[in-house]
Amino acid sequence: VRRSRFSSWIAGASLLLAALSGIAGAQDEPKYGGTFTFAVATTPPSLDWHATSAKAVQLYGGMYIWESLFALDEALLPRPMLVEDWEVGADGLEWTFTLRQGVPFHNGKEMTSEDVVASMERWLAVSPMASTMERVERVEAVDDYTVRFVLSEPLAPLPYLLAAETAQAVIMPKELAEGAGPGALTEFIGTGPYRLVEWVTDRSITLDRFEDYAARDEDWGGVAGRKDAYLDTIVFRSIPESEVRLAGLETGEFQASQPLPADYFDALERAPNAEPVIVEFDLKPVIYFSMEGIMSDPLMRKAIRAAIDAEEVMFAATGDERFYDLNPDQLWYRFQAFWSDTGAEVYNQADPELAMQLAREAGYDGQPIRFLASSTQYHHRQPAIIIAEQLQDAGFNITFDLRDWPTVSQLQNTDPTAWDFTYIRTGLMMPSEIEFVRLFGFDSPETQEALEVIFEEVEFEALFEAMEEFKREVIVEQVPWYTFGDMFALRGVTTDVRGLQDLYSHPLWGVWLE
Amino acid sequence: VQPDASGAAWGRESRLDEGRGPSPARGGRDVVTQFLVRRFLFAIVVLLVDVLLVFSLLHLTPGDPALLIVGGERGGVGGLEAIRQQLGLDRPFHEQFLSYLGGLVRGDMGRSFFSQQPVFEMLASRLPMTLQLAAVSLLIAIVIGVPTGIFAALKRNTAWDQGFMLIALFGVSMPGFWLALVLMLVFSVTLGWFPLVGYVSPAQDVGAWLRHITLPAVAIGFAQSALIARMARSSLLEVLRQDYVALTAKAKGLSPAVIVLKHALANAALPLVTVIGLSFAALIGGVVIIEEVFALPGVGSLLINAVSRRDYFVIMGCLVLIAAANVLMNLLVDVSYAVIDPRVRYD
Repeated sequence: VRRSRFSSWIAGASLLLAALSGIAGAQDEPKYGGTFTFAVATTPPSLDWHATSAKAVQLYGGMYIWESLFALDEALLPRPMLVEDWEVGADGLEWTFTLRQGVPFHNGKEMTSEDVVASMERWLAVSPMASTMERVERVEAVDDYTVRFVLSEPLAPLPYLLAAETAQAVIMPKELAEGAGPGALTEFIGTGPYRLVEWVTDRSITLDRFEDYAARDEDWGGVAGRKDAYLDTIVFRSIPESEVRLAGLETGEFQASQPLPADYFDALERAPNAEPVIVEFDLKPVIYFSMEGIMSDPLMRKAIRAAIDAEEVMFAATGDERFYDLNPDQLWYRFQAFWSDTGAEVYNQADPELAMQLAREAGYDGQPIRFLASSTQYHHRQPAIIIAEQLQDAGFNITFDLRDWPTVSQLQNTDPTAWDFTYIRTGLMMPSEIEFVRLFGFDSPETQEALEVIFEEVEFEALFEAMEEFKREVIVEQVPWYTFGDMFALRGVTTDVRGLQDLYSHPLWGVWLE
Repeated sequence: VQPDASGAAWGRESRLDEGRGPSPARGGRDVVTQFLVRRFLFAIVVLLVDVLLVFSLLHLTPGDPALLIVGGERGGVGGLEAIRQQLGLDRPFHEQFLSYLGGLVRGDMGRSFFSQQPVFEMLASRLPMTLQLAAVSLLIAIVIGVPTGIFAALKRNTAWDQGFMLIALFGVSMPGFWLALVLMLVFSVTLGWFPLVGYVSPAQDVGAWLRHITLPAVAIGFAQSALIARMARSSLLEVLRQDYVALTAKAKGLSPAVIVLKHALANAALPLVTVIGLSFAALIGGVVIIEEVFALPGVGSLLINAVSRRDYFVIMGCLVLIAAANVLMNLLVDVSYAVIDPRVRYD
């Protein structure tokens, strides 16, 4: 039995979000009732969480409707959600999960192992993240409340993967999961604390409290453990104009708004009935390099890295120095257990002379370098303009290719010959996600080795050392990407809101209106 | 593709000679029927061309819906082929087009790639709001625009005329979203008279409907009223210069009010009706920005979001609807000429 060994590596990772997750107004007595309207930039076009990795599916519907076998706590560590207990076979090839009993779906049916098997089979077939669990050979029901995962090779981070929030492996009734292709779910029924009442595409998602919700007792924070549904109704409204998201707080039509531009901070401080909250977690700005042209030479990638003034880029991305952290770690947020300053010497160099020297060593003599970025995504355009200007000033011949997001996304994924480097935003939440450095064609034996360690290793210290090795060998020497720093988000809330965690995912259970 | 442009073009060509042939009032019903049939057939051809053009352009535009389904901002990771297959995007272009056209003929507009809702249902749920917004906006525009235009024409070359026309110029030039934000700031945030955003159906609560629709309708209607006022002024001035008004009516001793309201205005109405009719058609698909600012669930916002994620069948559905609205309004404008002006003939 290796449960304790697994626990030991996640237990080692404990430096995390505690400082961010102070629960406001804990002295007040919770009250039931009320409607909480949350103004967001855009609600998701699909609610099929299995099949899409769009963050909005999780934040504005998915995590209220459904639950998975595991969930991430306030420190981004996996905790059991629909699972009561679990065991790992001695060879690491069989994981047996005992399910909680008496957990009803929104349609009244009790969740059992057949639902878990059907949901996992659908997830493995339709999820964009299914490759992370390709070592899962099959999932089988042992009895009504026991499920076994049979693996071809050890998969140490399985609870982490089951809790992963990108295209999460949520559990739905067998009848809905079976045969439903990607995006083809006809009903949205889960075991979560709220049930879907109305969904107007691109306008609003309305959720009502699920009165028969079977809550856990543990207070783990994050999206794990106990979920008290105090609010009667939650409405996520798509309000594309940020001015209107701000104005709605002042009129009291919205109880919270996010994202808001950082320069609204002062206006929120002045507002009599609203206040600003800096959420110290957002996707990081990053450039990826194409492996098809001039950037396939690591010296050229080092040259670009040397030229960049990260502080200027982060300021352009946020517009306010309170909203970023010049984090030298190219992988982890500062509050994550794997964080270190390894590679700090090559971060934020802002050294055009070194850049051109490296470029000349690589044989660069002024050929055009194509920089592909999105003109339509939030936080893309401004920083991309600054990056292009910095590189141009350093002496690179930059062709700046600014297009709408669907075009950028297609070119990034299907045609690496159409660009030399490209801007995107990303953020790693768990060790196995270092795989993201391979998203657009980069790979190396050292990257493969690091991934192997992650899949096999359960001890935190060994895993930490593997991450350090990965940073030294791959991030510093091979430069698969360059991250500019950590970005924070601004949220506005009205003063009558209590119990809202300062988490990026802003769960609305445990929240009430005074 | 500008469906209104194509519609308007052939609308004008077939527009009706004066002073020849039998008028509908004098028993020309067959001619009217022929005219309507001809226009209906033209409409179908225009719609088919529209469908083919838009379908082709969509498939030529970069951007892969499957990638956007799995993708999110962090980019796609896998499972693309299965989705392309399920959506039918792996089939050759002509197969996809014929399959869509076949569905369209049977009344099946396809489903959204993302929400899996039938496009027909999505349009049916959005159209009433857009029609209401267009109608109320136009009403506001007419109520403000026509009297202003008449007044300016009667007081031409005075300070009144110049003042009104300056306001009209301001109205035409002002960005709609800016006026919308100012209206919100004054009437919702500061005075609290109107809700900031959202929509309530009149079937649910007429008072709430009116409160929700007023600000967006004023934001659109003001710009439209400026256009109508300018058109009303210039048309009326044109008529007032004609001999039958300038000399005959005055010589008959008619009062200035009767001259303007009974004789001049009726003759100045044709261009006005054209502008108003085509404005209504344009508003069906053209209130995108105001719908976005006020977070209204209309056809315009459906279209703009569908374009941003390459939701092909939703884009097609919206554009077929907008094209059909333009064709229909052109037809209605032409038919209305005969009602307004008995000299008009359907040849």
